[in-house]
Amino acid sequence: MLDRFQQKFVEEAQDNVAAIEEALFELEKSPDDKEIVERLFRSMHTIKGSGAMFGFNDLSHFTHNLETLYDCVRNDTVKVNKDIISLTFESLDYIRQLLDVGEGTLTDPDDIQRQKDYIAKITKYFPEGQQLTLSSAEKAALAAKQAAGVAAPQPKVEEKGPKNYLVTFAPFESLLNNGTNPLFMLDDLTALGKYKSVAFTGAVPQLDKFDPLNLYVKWQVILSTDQDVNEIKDVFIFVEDECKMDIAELPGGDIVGNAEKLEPIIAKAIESQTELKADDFAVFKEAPKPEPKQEAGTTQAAAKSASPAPKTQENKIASIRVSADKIDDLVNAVSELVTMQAQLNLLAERQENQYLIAIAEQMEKITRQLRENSFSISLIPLQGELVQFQRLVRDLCNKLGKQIEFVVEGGEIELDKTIIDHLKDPLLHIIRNSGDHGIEMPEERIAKGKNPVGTVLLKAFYSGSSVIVQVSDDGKGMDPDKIFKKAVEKGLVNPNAHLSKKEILNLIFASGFSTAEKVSDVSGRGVGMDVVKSKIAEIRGEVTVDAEVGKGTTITMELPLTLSIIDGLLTRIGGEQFVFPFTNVERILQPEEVKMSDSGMGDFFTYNGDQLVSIDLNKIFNGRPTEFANSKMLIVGQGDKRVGMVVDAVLGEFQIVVKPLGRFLRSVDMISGASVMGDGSLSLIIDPGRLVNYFNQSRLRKKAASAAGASNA
Amino acid sequence: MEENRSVTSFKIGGEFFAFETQAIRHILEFTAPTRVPLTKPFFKGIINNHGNMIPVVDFRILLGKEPDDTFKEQSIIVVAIETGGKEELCGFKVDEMDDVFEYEASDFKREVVIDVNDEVQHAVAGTIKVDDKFVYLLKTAELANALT
Repeated sequence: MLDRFQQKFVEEAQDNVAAIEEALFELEKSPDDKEIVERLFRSMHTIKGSGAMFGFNDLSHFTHNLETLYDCVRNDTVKVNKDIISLTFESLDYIRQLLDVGEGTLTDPDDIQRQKDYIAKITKYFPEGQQLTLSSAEKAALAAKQAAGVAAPQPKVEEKGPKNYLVTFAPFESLLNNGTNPLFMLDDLTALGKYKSVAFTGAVPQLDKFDPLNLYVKWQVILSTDQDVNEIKDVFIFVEDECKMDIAELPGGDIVGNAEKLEPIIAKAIESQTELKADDFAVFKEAPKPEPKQEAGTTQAAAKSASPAPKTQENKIASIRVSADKIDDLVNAVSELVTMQAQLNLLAERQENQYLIAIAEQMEKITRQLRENSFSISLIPLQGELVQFQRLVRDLCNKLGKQIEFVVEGGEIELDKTIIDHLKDPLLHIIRNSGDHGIEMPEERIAKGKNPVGTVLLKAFYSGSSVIVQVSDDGKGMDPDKIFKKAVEKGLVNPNAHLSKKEILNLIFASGFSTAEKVSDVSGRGVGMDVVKSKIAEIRGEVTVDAEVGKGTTITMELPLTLSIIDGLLTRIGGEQFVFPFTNVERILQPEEVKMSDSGMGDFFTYNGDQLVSIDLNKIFNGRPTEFANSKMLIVGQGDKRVGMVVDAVLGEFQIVVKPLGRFLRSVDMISGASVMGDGSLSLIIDPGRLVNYFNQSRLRKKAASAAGASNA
Repeated sequence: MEENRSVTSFKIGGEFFAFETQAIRHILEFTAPTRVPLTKPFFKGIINNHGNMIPVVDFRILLGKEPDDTFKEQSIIVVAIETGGKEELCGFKVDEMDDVFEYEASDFKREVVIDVNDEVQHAVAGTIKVDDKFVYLLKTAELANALT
């Protein structure tokens, strides 16, 4: 069992692995970019160091070797090439496995051998003379720094002899909470050279106020070292968000050894409990020359700009990590609040109490704001999920010998995290299909006059109240005749059926349909597009396909923006209350504004110069027509289509908490959910797009039935 | 047979049916559900239970009997049904509740003598003999098929 800290480590390590993976893709494109290598190195370093701290020794040891390799890359002793990048990808998979296993130490001899083999693969790329440290992982953390130091004599250090630094380490009180022992860090720090350390204990409270879980001490270390300033920073790499840290360069010469001058300075600082400042060491300046000070400034500045540390630090403080469960709880609580708010509004109105009404209105504003904020929290950009698809395409290319470029447009589009969760598998499947079946082999593409490099484009964009996610490829497309034949063979469709090209193509979503002629290990296991369709349907999304033989295939998924709260227009139809999503309602017309014309096939009317279908919802839901003179006509738009919907009355605009109806009522898909109103009654939420589909189909059935009736007569 | 033999029985007309007690989540006094259009006839509608929407099935209509709302003690039994790897709640409107009891394995028979819809017939696991009455034990998982 993992304890809380280990669990946190695993989560963070997984993030780091993802970050490495992302950086690798960039490195593949621009192998000379040192900034990317630096990022890679830092993430690896974090995994290694915190791994050792939390008992993942083998993981730490493995990552150490990887890190060493990238240290060499950083120092230009090893040149990045495709093999190294592939090996790194592989290594990341291995690290993920180690994290999944969740055991600190490997015990199975096979596993140990496997790790050895992996490490051997990595060390192969080490330059001659690079020391391979096989010591235990705890030592590795320290050894790594030495190894790195040995392998990479920092060219920046041009001055002869050790430099003096004043390192201020003021951890936050909470540092101990994640299992960090600051003394180990001080050990690491002081191992870099000669030192004199000062502990400030002035902040330690009286015993009755003392919380043993908090850390009240800060330290300053005067360090004399040959190492680069980055080595000092590396010591604090895991805690940089959890402490205040400062490194100042002090004048040269022997400060640490000069007790005579040093002691009084330290004593004074301890007495007054004020931190030492670089200026305090002015007495050590050998000559009054301004250069060293200026030097100190620039070195520090250079160090800052060279490593992205300050940048990430800001990023991390700007965002915090919250467990998904907590966000779900928040959203649920807000949903309850919205329901209660409706009750309050109702009560205030009934009491006709002006004060209460004013409060209710104020509350309503705040509730709405809270609702919008908490919902935006649960929105995450699609971007975060894209790396794995990129990886998938890369692996596919290697496995199948194809050349595919994966292009993303609209990665910044944000979606509810539940929707993204549901989207992942379908997208993986669709992209895999595009790579496996869609894109042709390079020779074939050249023969067809295409670019040998195929393209898979993932495009996301907003459309009304929906998000469209599209995957298109420029591969061989799909042949409707072949699909139709296959569907007939599988008994999915009547051989005499007359279907449009679009209808035929969409047969691929039927259960038990797979067009792969050979079952490969990449795709085509018979479960496929039907799973995609049902997964997407679970989040009230639609999926359609379009294809052109020889040109490519496009799969389009239309998804709702959020799942749980919408602004809705409440109406009455028969005895029940129904809600229309506000974004879909364009206008509410009085009966006298509508001129109906009956063309014999159904009811039509003219709106803004267009002829629109009028759907009488009483007729559909209750089987009897609405009394038109007392009704309202809603102009409902879905995409670029508009229809008129007749309801008995419009009751007002409400914030609506969407509750799913559950599996047993899923067949009623024109009702997307229900909501509890302020007075405790329930209203049903209409999905206008599906309602129109239902209307069209039932109209077609009626037409067919009456045609059959007419020919019989 | 599994160890747990606690069942909760209810009445429909003159007949007794039972769910395994562990599948039951709530027993509610009957309140008129909100009707959902375009559903199968046995769906009475939905009710709100602690913010969750629960569909309510009229057990009489499901069995193929005439609807009858004249019983004073009508109840809704909310049952957890495992379907598609997830637990779904469904309410069943019954004429009245009967009893909660444990039965002896020797009182359980697989034979079922009952005249109801085929779908429901499949959901009856067997008959429990209690004193001089017969109780038909329902399997929730099979019942789910009758509902969808």
